[in-house]
Amino acid sequence: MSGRRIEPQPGETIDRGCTVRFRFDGRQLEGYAGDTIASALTAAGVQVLSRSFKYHRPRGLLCGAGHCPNCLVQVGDEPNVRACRRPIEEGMEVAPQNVWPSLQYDAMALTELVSRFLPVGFYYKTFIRPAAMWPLYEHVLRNAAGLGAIDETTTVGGDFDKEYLHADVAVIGGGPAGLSAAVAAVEQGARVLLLDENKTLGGHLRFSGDGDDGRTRVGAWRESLGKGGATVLTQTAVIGHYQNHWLSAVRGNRLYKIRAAGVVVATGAFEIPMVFDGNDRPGVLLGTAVQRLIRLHGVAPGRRAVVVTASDAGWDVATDLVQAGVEVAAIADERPGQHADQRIDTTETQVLHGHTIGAAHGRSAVRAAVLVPVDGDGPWHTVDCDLIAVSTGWNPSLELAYLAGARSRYDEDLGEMRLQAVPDGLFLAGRVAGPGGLEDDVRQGDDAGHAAAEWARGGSKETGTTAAGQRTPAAPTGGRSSALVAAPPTGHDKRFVCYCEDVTDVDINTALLEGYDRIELLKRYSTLGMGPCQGRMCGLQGIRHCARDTDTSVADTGRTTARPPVTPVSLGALAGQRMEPVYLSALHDWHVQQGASMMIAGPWLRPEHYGDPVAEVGAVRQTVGLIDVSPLGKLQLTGPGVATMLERLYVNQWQDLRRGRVRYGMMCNDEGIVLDDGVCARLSEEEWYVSTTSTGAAGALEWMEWWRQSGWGEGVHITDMTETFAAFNLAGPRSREVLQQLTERDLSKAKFPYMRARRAEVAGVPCLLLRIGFTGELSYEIHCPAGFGRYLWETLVEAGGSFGLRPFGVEAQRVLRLEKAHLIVGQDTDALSDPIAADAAWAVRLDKGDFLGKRALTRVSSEGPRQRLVGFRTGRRVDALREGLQIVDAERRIIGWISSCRHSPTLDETLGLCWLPADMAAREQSTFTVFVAGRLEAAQVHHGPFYDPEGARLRS
Amino acid sequence: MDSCTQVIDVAGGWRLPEAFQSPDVELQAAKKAVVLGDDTSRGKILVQGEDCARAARQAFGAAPDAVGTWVEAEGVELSRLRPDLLYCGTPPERLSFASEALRSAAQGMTEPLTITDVTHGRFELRLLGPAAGNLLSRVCGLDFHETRFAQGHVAQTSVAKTHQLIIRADVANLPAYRLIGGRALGAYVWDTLMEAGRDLQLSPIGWLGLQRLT
Repeated sequence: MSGRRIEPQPGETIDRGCTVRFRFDGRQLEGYAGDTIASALTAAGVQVLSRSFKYHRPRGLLCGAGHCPNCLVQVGDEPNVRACRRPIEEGMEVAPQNVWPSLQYDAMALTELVSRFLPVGFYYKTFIRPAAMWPLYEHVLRNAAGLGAIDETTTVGGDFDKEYLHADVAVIGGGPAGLSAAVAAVEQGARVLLLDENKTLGGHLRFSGDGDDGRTRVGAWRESLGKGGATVLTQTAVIGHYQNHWLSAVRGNRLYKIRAAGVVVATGAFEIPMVFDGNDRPGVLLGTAVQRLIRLHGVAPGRRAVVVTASDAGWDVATDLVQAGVEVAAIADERPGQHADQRIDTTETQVLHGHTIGAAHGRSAVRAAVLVPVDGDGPWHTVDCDLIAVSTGWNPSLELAYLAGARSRYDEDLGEMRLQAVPDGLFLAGRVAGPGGLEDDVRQGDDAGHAAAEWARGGSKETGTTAAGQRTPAAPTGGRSSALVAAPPTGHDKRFVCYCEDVTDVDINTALLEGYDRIELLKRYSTLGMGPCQGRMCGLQGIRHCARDTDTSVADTGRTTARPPVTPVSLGALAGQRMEPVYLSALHDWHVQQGASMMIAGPWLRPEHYGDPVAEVGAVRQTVGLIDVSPLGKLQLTGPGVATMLERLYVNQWQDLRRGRVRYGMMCNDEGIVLDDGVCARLSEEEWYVSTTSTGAAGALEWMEWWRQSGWGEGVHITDMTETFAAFNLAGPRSREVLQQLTERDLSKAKFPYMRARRAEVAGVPCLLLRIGFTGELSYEIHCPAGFGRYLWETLVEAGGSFGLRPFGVEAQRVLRLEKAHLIVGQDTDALSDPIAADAAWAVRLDKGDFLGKRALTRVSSEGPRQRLVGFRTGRRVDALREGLQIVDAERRIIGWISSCRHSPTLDETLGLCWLPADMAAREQSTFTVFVAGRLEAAQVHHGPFYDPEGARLRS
Repeated sequence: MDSCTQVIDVAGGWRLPEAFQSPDVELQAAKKAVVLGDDTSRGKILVQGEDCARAARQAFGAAPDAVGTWVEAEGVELSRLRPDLLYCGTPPERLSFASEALRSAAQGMTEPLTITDVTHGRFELRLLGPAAGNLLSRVCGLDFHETRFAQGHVAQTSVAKTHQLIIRADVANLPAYRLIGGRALGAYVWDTLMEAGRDLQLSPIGWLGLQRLT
C-alpha cells in the first residue's frame, strides 16, 4: 500500500486484512475492503479523478460526502458514480469522466484558454444564428454535453425494482439526533423506519469529536433500535417528500416508496466550499472530507497542509491532520483575536488570525496557498503545501423540509438558513435546525422522536413540536459559517461558485449586469445549481453573491425552489421493474404455436393474422373461419331494473326485447357522443348478457357502474365476465355444418335464426351461442368458460378441418367488416362523433323516454349533422390510400378524412369509410379527392354495405 | 406450466402443475423463503346484493361482518369485499356444494341477490413463506405488517398495476396470501412476481406441495 495510508484508526471502516484490486484510468491499483474509490485513490496518491464540465479543469476529491460533482467517475458502463460513496470491488474498472483523449491531456481543456469569449449565456446568444447551422451546432453540442457514457448495448433495466414501506415514524438521518429520535419513537411503541445515506450509522460521530464515546453511544442506540424492531436502512438516500408524508428513497437499484404518519428530519448540515482563486484545484478539500479520509479510511490526504477556517471546526481538522502525521504548515482563522488550541503546537504551525485564503496555486495538484487578511489590509502569505483543508461554511440540509412545505429565512448572525415554520407531522432535530452541540442534538432528537410517535398515534403536534425557534441558541462553536461572501480576489485564477457547471463569480456578476437579477432568473440563465449537486455546494453562495451584487439582503433575496429528487438518481431506479400488464386470451399459446403474428389491441395481445390474411378473408367468405374474440367486453346484468337501465344508457330501445333475442346497441354520453357499442342479449326476464368493444370494455363497465350507483340501477347487479368466458366467432357459409357436429341444439335457421341467443352444450362444454355477425356471413359467436377455451377451440378446428376451416385474425376481420361497412367505435368515431353523423341514426330511438344524449341527439336530428361517416370505393386497387389521409376540395382545403381503408380481396377494389361534409356524403357516387403525398386520388361515395347489401348471407 | 415436471388433473377438469422440483424441496423453500403456487382451480363465486351476508349465513352458518375480513365455514372461505358484495372461495370439489347452497339460500331473500360463478374468470395464486409479505411490498402499496394486514384480512388493491384481491390466509404457521385477479393477466402476474422475488429466493411450488402444506 501507499505511504498515504496511516496507522489504524479506532473507528475506521476498512478491513486491512482484505486487499482489493481495481483499475483506474488503466492503472492497476489496490485498496482495502471498505475503501471507497476515492479513499483508495487518495491512498494511492491519485488526486485528479475527472475533469470539469465546461473548462475541463482537473478535479479531485472535494466534499467526500457525496454532494459535489468533483469525484464523478465511470464504473464499467455506469456513469456519474460518486467515487467518495462507492466502495471498491475486486476487478472494478473505474475511468475518469469528461476527458478526451486522456485524463492527463484533455484537448477540451483548451476551452479555458478562450474562456473570456465564453461568458455566461454564450450558448443562448451564439447558437441561434444562422439558423441553417443549427444541425451542426446541435451535433457538436450534444457530443460535448452530458457526463459519462452509457453503453446502450449492454445496459439493461431488469435489475431495478421498487418497494413500498410503511411506518408510524420515519426518521431521515442516522446521526446522533436521528438515532436518538428513532430510539425515542421506538420506546413510545411506534413502528420506526430509520433511513441514512451512509454505510454506517452515527453521522458526524463517525469521524469527528471523541470517537470512542461516539461509537459507544451509537452502539447503544443501535441496540435499542434492534430490540424495538425498528427497520434501519443504511446507504439509502431520501430523494423526495410528497403530500401526506409520502417519501421516496433510493438504495442501490431499488426505489422505496414510503408512507409514514410522522417524519423526523435529522439530515444535519453539510460543509460548503469557499470562493477563492483556484478553489477547485485538486488538493483543496473540505474539512470534513479530510476527517473522513483520516478516521474512516486511514488515509492522509496530503503531507503538508494549510487549514482555512472560520470556527473551531477547522482546529479540529488541524488536530486530526497532526495526529495523522501530516504537517500543518498554517492555519488561517477568519476570526480576529488570539484564538488558540492547545492541541496545535504553534511553534510548528503558523497561525494567522483575521486571515483567510486568497488563492490556491497549482494545476493538477495544489502547490501553495496564498493567505490574505480578511480586511485586505496587510501582507499576503504564500505557504507551500499539497493540501488545503477548508472549513469555513455550513448549510443545513433542509431540502426535504422545503419539499414538505417548511419555510426558512436567512440568519445573518449564523450565516445560514433557519427554519421559520414546518408543516404538521414533520419534526426537525439536530444540526439541520441550527448549530449546537452533541448534547443539544441528542436532546432535540429525543424530543422529536417522542413528538413524532405522539403525532402518529393521532396526538397533538403541540405536545412536542421540534422546529426552528425551539432549538437552544447555540454557542458560536462547531460549525458556524464564515461571514465572507468570498475571499478577497488575488487575480490568480478562476473563482468557482458552482463546480457542477463551472460558473464563476464573474459569470454571476455578468448575469446580474445583464438583468438576471432575481435568484430564480440567475439560476436559469447561469445554470447555477442545476448540476449534479443540485445547489448543495453552490446554492447559498449563489444567493449571497446575488444579494451582495444587487445590494439586497440575503434574506430578501430568497432562495430557489427545492424540487425532487434532491440528490441525483438514475432513471432506471425511477422506472423500476418493468411492469406492463398484458391481457392474454385462453388461446394465446395456441395462437403463438400456430405462428400467428400478434398485435397489441388495447390491453390485449391478439393474433393479427396467421400468415395470409387474404386467404383468411377468402375462407370466411367461401367456407368457414374461426376467430378468437375473447377480448370482447362481456357483462352480466341481473335484476328487475336492467331493461330500464339499458334504456337510459343506450340510444336503442330495450324494453321490448324478448327472451332469447339479441340486439345491437350503441352507448353515448350525455353530449350524444358515441362511447361504445356491442350487442345485448336477453337471456331471461332479469338476466342480460351485454358485449362491448374489446378496447372499451373497462370504460363501458365503469360507465355503467357509475350510473348504476348513481341511482339508475335499482336492484341491478353488474358482473364483469370478460375474462370468465372465452369467445370465438365461427363465421362463413359452412359454419352451421361445422358447429352442428358438436351440439345437439338444432341450429337450423328456423330454430336458431339471426339475432338470437341460445344456451347449448358444444362438445360437452356449456356455452352461450349468439347468432350475430360482424363479418357479414352466417356466423355463431360461441362463449364458453375460459378454462375450456382451448379445448373447445381445438375441437372446432378439428371439426372444421374437412370444411376448409381456417383461423383468422384481426386483419381479416377488419377487411370483412369493412366490406359490410360496419363501423368500429374508436377507429371510425372520435370524441366528436354522434350516432346520427356516424350513419347509425337507425339505432337512435328519440321517441322513447329520456336517455343519455337524447337532448343533444334531438338537436342534431333536427338540424342535421355537418359531417357524416360514409362508405367510399375506388373501383380499383389503390394501395396509396390509407387510414388517416385527408380529403380535400378543389382548392385543397381539408374537408374530411379517411377513418378506415382496405383493399377488399372479395370485391378486388380499395374501399373504406370516411368523414365528409353532409351534403357531399348524401350524394351516392359523388366523387371526392384524397390528398396522398402531394397528389390526388379520386374516390366515390357509397351508401350501405359493399358486400351482400341485403344481408341475405348473414341471415341464411 | 412450462417448467413443471408433471401435470396433474384435479377436480373440475383442471390441469395443474404437480411439482416443479420435488415436493420436499418446495416445502423447504416455503419454510425458508417464499414460494409461489397456482391454485386457479379453486372455485370462485361472487354474491352481490344487500342480503349477501345473510344468504351466506343461511348457507354456511357464518359470514364475515366487517368489510375487509374473511371467515371460513363449511370449507368455504367467505370474504366481505363490500357491504353488498361477498366473495366465496372453495376447493374445486366444494364449488358445486357452495353454489347450490347459496342459490338455495337466495330463494328466501327479500332483496335481489346475484350469484355468479367466476371460477374461470379469475386466476388464483398463492404466496407462502416468511418473505411473502416482503415480496408483496415490491408490487403492492398495501401495508403488509402483521399489525395491519393480519390473518383474516382481505383487500382489493393494485398489484403490479393490475386489480387484485388479496386474502391473508396463513397455512402451517407460515404467512400466506391468496392473490386473485383477472385470468387474462395470470401469466403476467406470475412472471412479474417471479422476477420481483428473485433476490428473495422465490421459487414455484406445485399442486402436491400446496396440498401438503394446507
